Amino acid sequence: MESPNLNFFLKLSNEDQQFMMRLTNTLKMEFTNDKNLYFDALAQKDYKKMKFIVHRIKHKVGLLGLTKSYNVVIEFENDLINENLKLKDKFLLILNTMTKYLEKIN
Amino acid sequence: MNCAVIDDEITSLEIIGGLCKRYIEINSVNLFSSPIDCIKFMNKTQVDLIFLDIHMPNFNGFDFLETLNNNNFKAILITSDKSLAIKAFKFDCVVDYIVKPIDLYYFDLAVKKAFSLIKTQNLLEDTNKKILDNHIFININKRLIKINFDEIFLIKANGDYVNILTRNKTHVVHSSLKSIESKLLQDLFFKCHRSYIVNLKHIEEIEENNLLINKQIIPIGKGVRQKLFQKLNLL
Repeated sequence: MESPNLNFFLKLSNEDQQFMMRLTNTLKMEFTNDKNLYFDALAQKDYKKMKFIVHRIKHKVGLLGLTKSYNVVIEFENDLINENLKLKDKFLLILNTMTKYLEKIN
Repeated sequence: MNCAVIDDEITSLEIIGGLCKRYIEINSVNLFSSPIDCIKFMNKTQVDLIFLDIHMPNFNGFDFLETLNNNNFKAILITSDKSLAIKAFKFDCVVDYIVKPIDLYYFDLAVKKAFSLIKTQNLLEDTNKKILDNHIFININKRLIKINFDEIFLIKANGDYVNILTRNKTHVVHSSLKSIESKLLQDLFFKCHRSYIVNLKHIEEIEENNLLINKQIIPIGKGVRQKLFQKLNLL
């Protein structure tokens, strides 16, 4: 599987360390929250809410440079319209990869 | 220029807010995680440019645009959803549509396009206002007298007063040349010298550093000669 990176944030922050730190901290905090909301919605089989949260997570997948995963998430988001969970495990794998990566960042 | 960013994702707010700070044209950036909060803010403050997300809970970006349809602002839509561009451009205020994650090059293009449109719109509004107000009221002996711009030949500084020369008479008004200049139509009037503003329509002749208007010779300042020529319909 492809590896996450902070290239986008590096380009965006233009060597402004403070801005870079604020961005990564916000991303970490919001991603943890989104992930919890997703698992809650999954447990409740609330597909509408799941689709909404997956859409939010999709942006964060893109922010970490996971281009192939981004396409998987697009497909998963579309599947959720039809209450189809076939890509659930692939999505979980993406979430785990992102979690591990973000945990490593100080 | 006042900006607002509306997005339910805090990461997006931080990113867009940070990018906005790179533009000197933007005086203030206001971040909102809910469109309703932005509407409340806009009831009190003029917002010129809005960066707007579409998918938000309860009240989405399109609901926001429909609610504020007649407001005087431009919007750049920033969303992870590629499929809504056609719907987005049905709103007159939408300048551009950017897909997340933001490509910095396209963001810059969109912002510059919005700046240019806002500038043109402001200029147009200003000109329209002045065309509608094609006259000025002057205060003479506690009476307000209306003078049409067309009637004015020239305005001359006269100490704490200005002399406004019209076809029929000269009005002496307590004002500075600078103050009266701001009330005139810029396309019609020209400050040709530190003591004179002339009505371009009434210039009869220009020779060296002087111009002739209503049989009066008016000096042309050295620094403004070229600028004056640009304003005239020269052969």
